[in-house]
Amino acid sequence: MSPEELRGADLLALAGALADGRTTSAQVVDAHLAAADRLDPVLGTYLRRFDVEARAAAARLDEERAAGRVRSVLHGIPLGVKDILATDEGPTTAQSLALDPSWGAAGDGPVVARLREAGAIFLGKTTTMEFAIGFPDPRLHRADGSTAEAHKPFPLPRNPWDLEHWTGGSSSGTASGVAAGLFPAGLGTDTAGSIRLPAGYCGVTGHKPTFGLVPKNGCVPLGFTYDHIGPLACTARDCAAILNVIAGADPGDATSVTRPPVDHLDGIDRGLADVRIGVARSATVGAGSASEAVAACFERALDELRAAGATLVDVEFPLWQELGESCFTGLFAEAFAWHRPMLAERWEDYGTDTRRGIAQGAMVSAADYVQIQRVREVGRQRIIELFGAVDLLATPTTGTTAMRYGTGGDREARLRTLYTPAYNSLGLPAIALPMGLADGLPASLQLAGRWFEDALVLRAGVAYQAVSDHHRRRPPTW
Amino acid sequence: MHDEQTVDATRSVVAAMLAASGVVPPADDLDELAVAMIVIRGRMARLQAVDCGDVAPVIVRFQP
Repeated sequence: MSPEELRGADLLALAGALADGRTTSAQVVDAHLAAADRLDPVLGTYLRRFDVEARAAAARLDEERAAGRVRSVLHGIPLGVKDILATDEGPTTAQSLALDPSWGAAGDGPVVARLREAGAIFLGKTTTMEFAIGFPDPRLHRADGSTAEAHKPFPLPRNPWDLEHWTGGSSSGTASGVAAGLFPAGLGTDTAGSIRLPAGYCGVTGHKPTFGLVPKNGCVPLGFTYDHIGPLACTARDCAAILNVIAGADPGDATSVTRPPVDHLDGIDRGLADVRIGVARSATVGAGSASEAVAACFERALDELRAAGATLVDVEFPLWQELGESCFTGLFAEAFAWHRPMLAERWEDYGTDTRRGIAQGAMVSAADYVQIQRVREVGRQRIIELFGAVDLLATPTTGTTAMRYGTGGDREARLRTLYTPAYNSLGLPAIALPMGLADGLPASLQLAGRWFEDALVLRAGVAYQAVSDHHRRRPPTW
Repeated sequence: MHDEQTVDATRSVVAAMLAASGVVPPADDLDELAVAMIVIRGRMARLQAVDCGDVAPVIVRFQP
């Protein structure tokens, strides 16, 4: 296979090519690193690349394969890792000057360790928002830190579909890297939408697993009860392959849940003939927070779901706004609890947006925090009733396409266009799927399911991608 | 947006709350945080209005 074919292939296609000897892991890694040489300076995908370590791992894994040992379908597959996850290869910055460089010195957390054991190769650490929350400021970010105003030695993540637009965040680099063919898949984290939003804005697939399915230790925390680690990839099927490896409790994360292992690829082609999907229009496209172009993409996506065999039912999503606000308020309180000592000592080392965001947590009283948790519990009870009538819920992932840098506008208005945080308050599994272009930029469909029914969510994603080709489109920056 | 008097009154409250945690932001940050505080109070008013009955919060869940 040519280098261009290799970087254009999705994860499981590469696994197939490696299995039948059409390529080697060394060739796969080289193809993706060559693409990064060309595109990373433009896109700001990486904070740090691990070229030497990746090539060494590829050679080692090719030798293993030649000797008859194949660890998993991920054997020899290169991945990107968001730089709030610790890895053996190098330090974790969380894209901040404030984080103690010794954080993460213990190396791989359980998710990264599981992927490594399964044969994955880490090409590097990818850009994020500072501490997965601070909004990037084009005036402050310079990759080389060479200009007077370059306070932050971190690259500005740019959208492969239009370089003047943001990637979304906070798993910014992982999303842009998958979209631009710098790696076939990678890891992100999601506290209020940070896997699904950049996946949506960059035209790739991103899965937020059920809360507790994937352990979070080894990740710089943001909102302890809202954080999730999950995959971004070209397809829902690729996300399932990664989830198979990273799911499972770890004693280092008390919120991770011990459950019998599930093969998320098993039965993934069963289609949607027996699946009822609740369409939550009134909370999203019906609430005036979506652009006409995104709303039109959503209606087309619903037609495609019907074509895939699903039965669609209009539903009212209970407490949609309240669950979203529970997330955007509760996570600040949790973040402030972790950041308080650093904010007291190193306020100026934080980015402006980051410190102002996290410090909001000081304004959430104990009684407020308890009320937030009560609302989440009421929401849980109400959503159980709703899931008596439907198996999945459909909304757009976001009501708009990727924001153009310099046009942020009113923060509260912007937050209302994000259709992701209610699922963080509830901990439900949710996937973002490309659903076409709206005014030239990717729009995204979000499907969510019951707790620990990630396999059904992923199956629906596979069924949708079997009747559509939006996930196959490539950005102009390729 | 928010009227200046309300922001002014909130600024000192915010400064005191943060100071209690040892965090002392500069004035321009305090201005923004005062606005954020007003937004949070609005959110909390909406969350307080949710009929939760006697529902208990799930803050910690232990498993063996």
